[in-house]
Amino acid sequence: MFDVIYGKIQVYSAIAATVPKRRLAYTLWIWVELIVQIFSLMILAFFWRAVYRETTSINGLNVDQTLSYMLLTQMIMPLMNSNWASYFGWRVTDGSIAIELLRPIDFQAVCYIQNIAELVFSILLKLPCLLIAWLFLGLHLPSSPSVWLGFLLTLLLGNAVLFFTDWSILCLSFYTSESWGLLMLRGAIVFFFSGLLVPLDLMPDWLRSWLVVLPFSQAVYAPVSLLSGIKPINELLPIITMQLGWLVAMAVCARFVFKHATRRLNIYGG
Amino acid sequence: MYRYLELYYAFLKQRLKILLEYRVNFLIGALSTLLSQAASVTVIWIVMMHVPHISGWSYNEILLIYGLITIAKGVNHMFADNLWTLGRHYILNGTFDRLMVRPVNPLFHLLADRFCQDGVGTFVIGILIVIKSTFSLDFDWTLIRIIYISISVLSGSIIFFSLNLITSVSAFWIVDSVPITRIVFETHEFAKYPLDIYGKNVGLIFTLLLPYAFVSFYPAAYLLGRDVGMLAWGGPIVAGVLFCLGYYLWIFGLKHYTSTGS
Repeated sequence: MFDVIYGKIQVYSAIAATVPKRRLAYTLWIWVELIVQIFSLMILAFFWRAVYRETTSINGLNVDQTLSYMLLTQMIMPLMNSNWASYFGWRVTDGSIAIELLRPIDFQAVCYIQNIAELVFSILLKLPCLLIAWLFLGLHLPSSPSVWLGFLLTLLLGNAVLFFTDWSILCLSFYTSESWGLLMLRGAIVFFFSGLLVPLDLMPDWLRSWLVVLPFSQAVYAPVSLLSGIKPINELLPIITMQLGWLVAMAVCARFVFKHATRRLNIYGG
Repeated sequence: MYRYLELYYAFLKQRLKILLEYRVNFLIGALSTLLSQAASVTVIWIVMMHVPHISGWSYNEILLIYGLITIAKGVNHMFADNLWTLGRHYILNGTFDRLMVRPVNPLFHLLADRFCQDGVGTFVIGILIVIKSTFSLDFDWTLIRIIYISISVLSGSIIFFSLNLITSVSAFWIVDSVPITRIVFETHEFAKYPLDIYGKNVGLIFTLLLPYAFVSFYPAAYLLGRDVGMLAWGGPIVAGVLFCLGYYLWIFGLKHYTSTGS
């Protein structure tokens, strides 16, 4: 029993370790991206400060809350392009997904490990930006450790919800055998409806009430609104309940769709 | 001159044949530019439902700034995108020799080698944004204004092109020029919004050092009747100076081109 678990840990940590290796292959690019990121953080700070010169509060949000929220979403931005998803889609298109499914390891687990490794590594790469935003651009970070814990918990849960949602969407590529359109649609939905663009509180009421409960906002709005002080920490419980609900629903959905979709793949394979 | 137009047409025809072979790629390019433009405009739109003015600029006035720079960027993207690949696709593997031995201006040849279809989307979106904003502003479309806008957009694209040229020339020494070009190019994002939101110092940077403000802010301010003095007419002059500087550096770089293996 212990050997089995130890073996699994070894396999999955080897998979996770490929992520930083791949990303660190071009160190020059990491620096370029860092500088470009700092530009966009500066534009954000200037823009939102100019907006709040006209008013002190927009839909109940003050300048510190909105600015912190917007700067923090830039750190969460890597969620936008999940590399495992394009890998998955590409394998379906060229047919090599069959090899992945034959391997004596759960393909979904492999993708999930890659996804978590990407998340952790991307956030580590953003730490210099976070520091700069905190020192020079007016990012307010909470001092209470319970808020940070709540943030980490909701970030992980939200990421898992998004993972299973992406998985379900990607399974449609078994039918279309093209994935770029699906991925682009998914990107657009996440971009507009997850809270990456503006805090959802600024959206019109009818739209916001929908977006807050959809799975996409669980990955961005839920954690970032906690960390930026838009949502107080005592609202953690309802947020986590909603995330857990989505997590279970989407995990079941993902398994179900995948089972049906692979059957379809078998038919095509002859 | 006529010969070059003919040549460009011949290159373009070949390029279009390639593009027709990969229609999906065209669609991907067009949709992704549409997406990123729509995202930025949506942010401005949502914010301006709550505040009518930002630093004295209304929604449609900001859209005019945004639209002008988007058109100029689109023109540059369509016709001069190949500059980005100078290091990786021409100097690194020595194919730049091919351009040097032909009886055509090498810079022209480089640009004509690849018309970039992704720019078409940016260009069209820019025009739509400008039309939308001017209609909502009850803008008087006189002939002089049309000429002014055309000249601004043209000098704007030359400013984009020249800054890319100046930074790309570094490829003759360091081979991969994309990092430098990208860092300078990305600063154009600042010029999508009114300079007033940044304060004096940043405004000076984008007027004197990286003159992207002449692509968007000064022409828009002039068209909207704001007093920007002689700066309203700075676009063509800045474009001319930058282009001469870029071309001089390009010639200087060409002389230092040693091909691969040396």
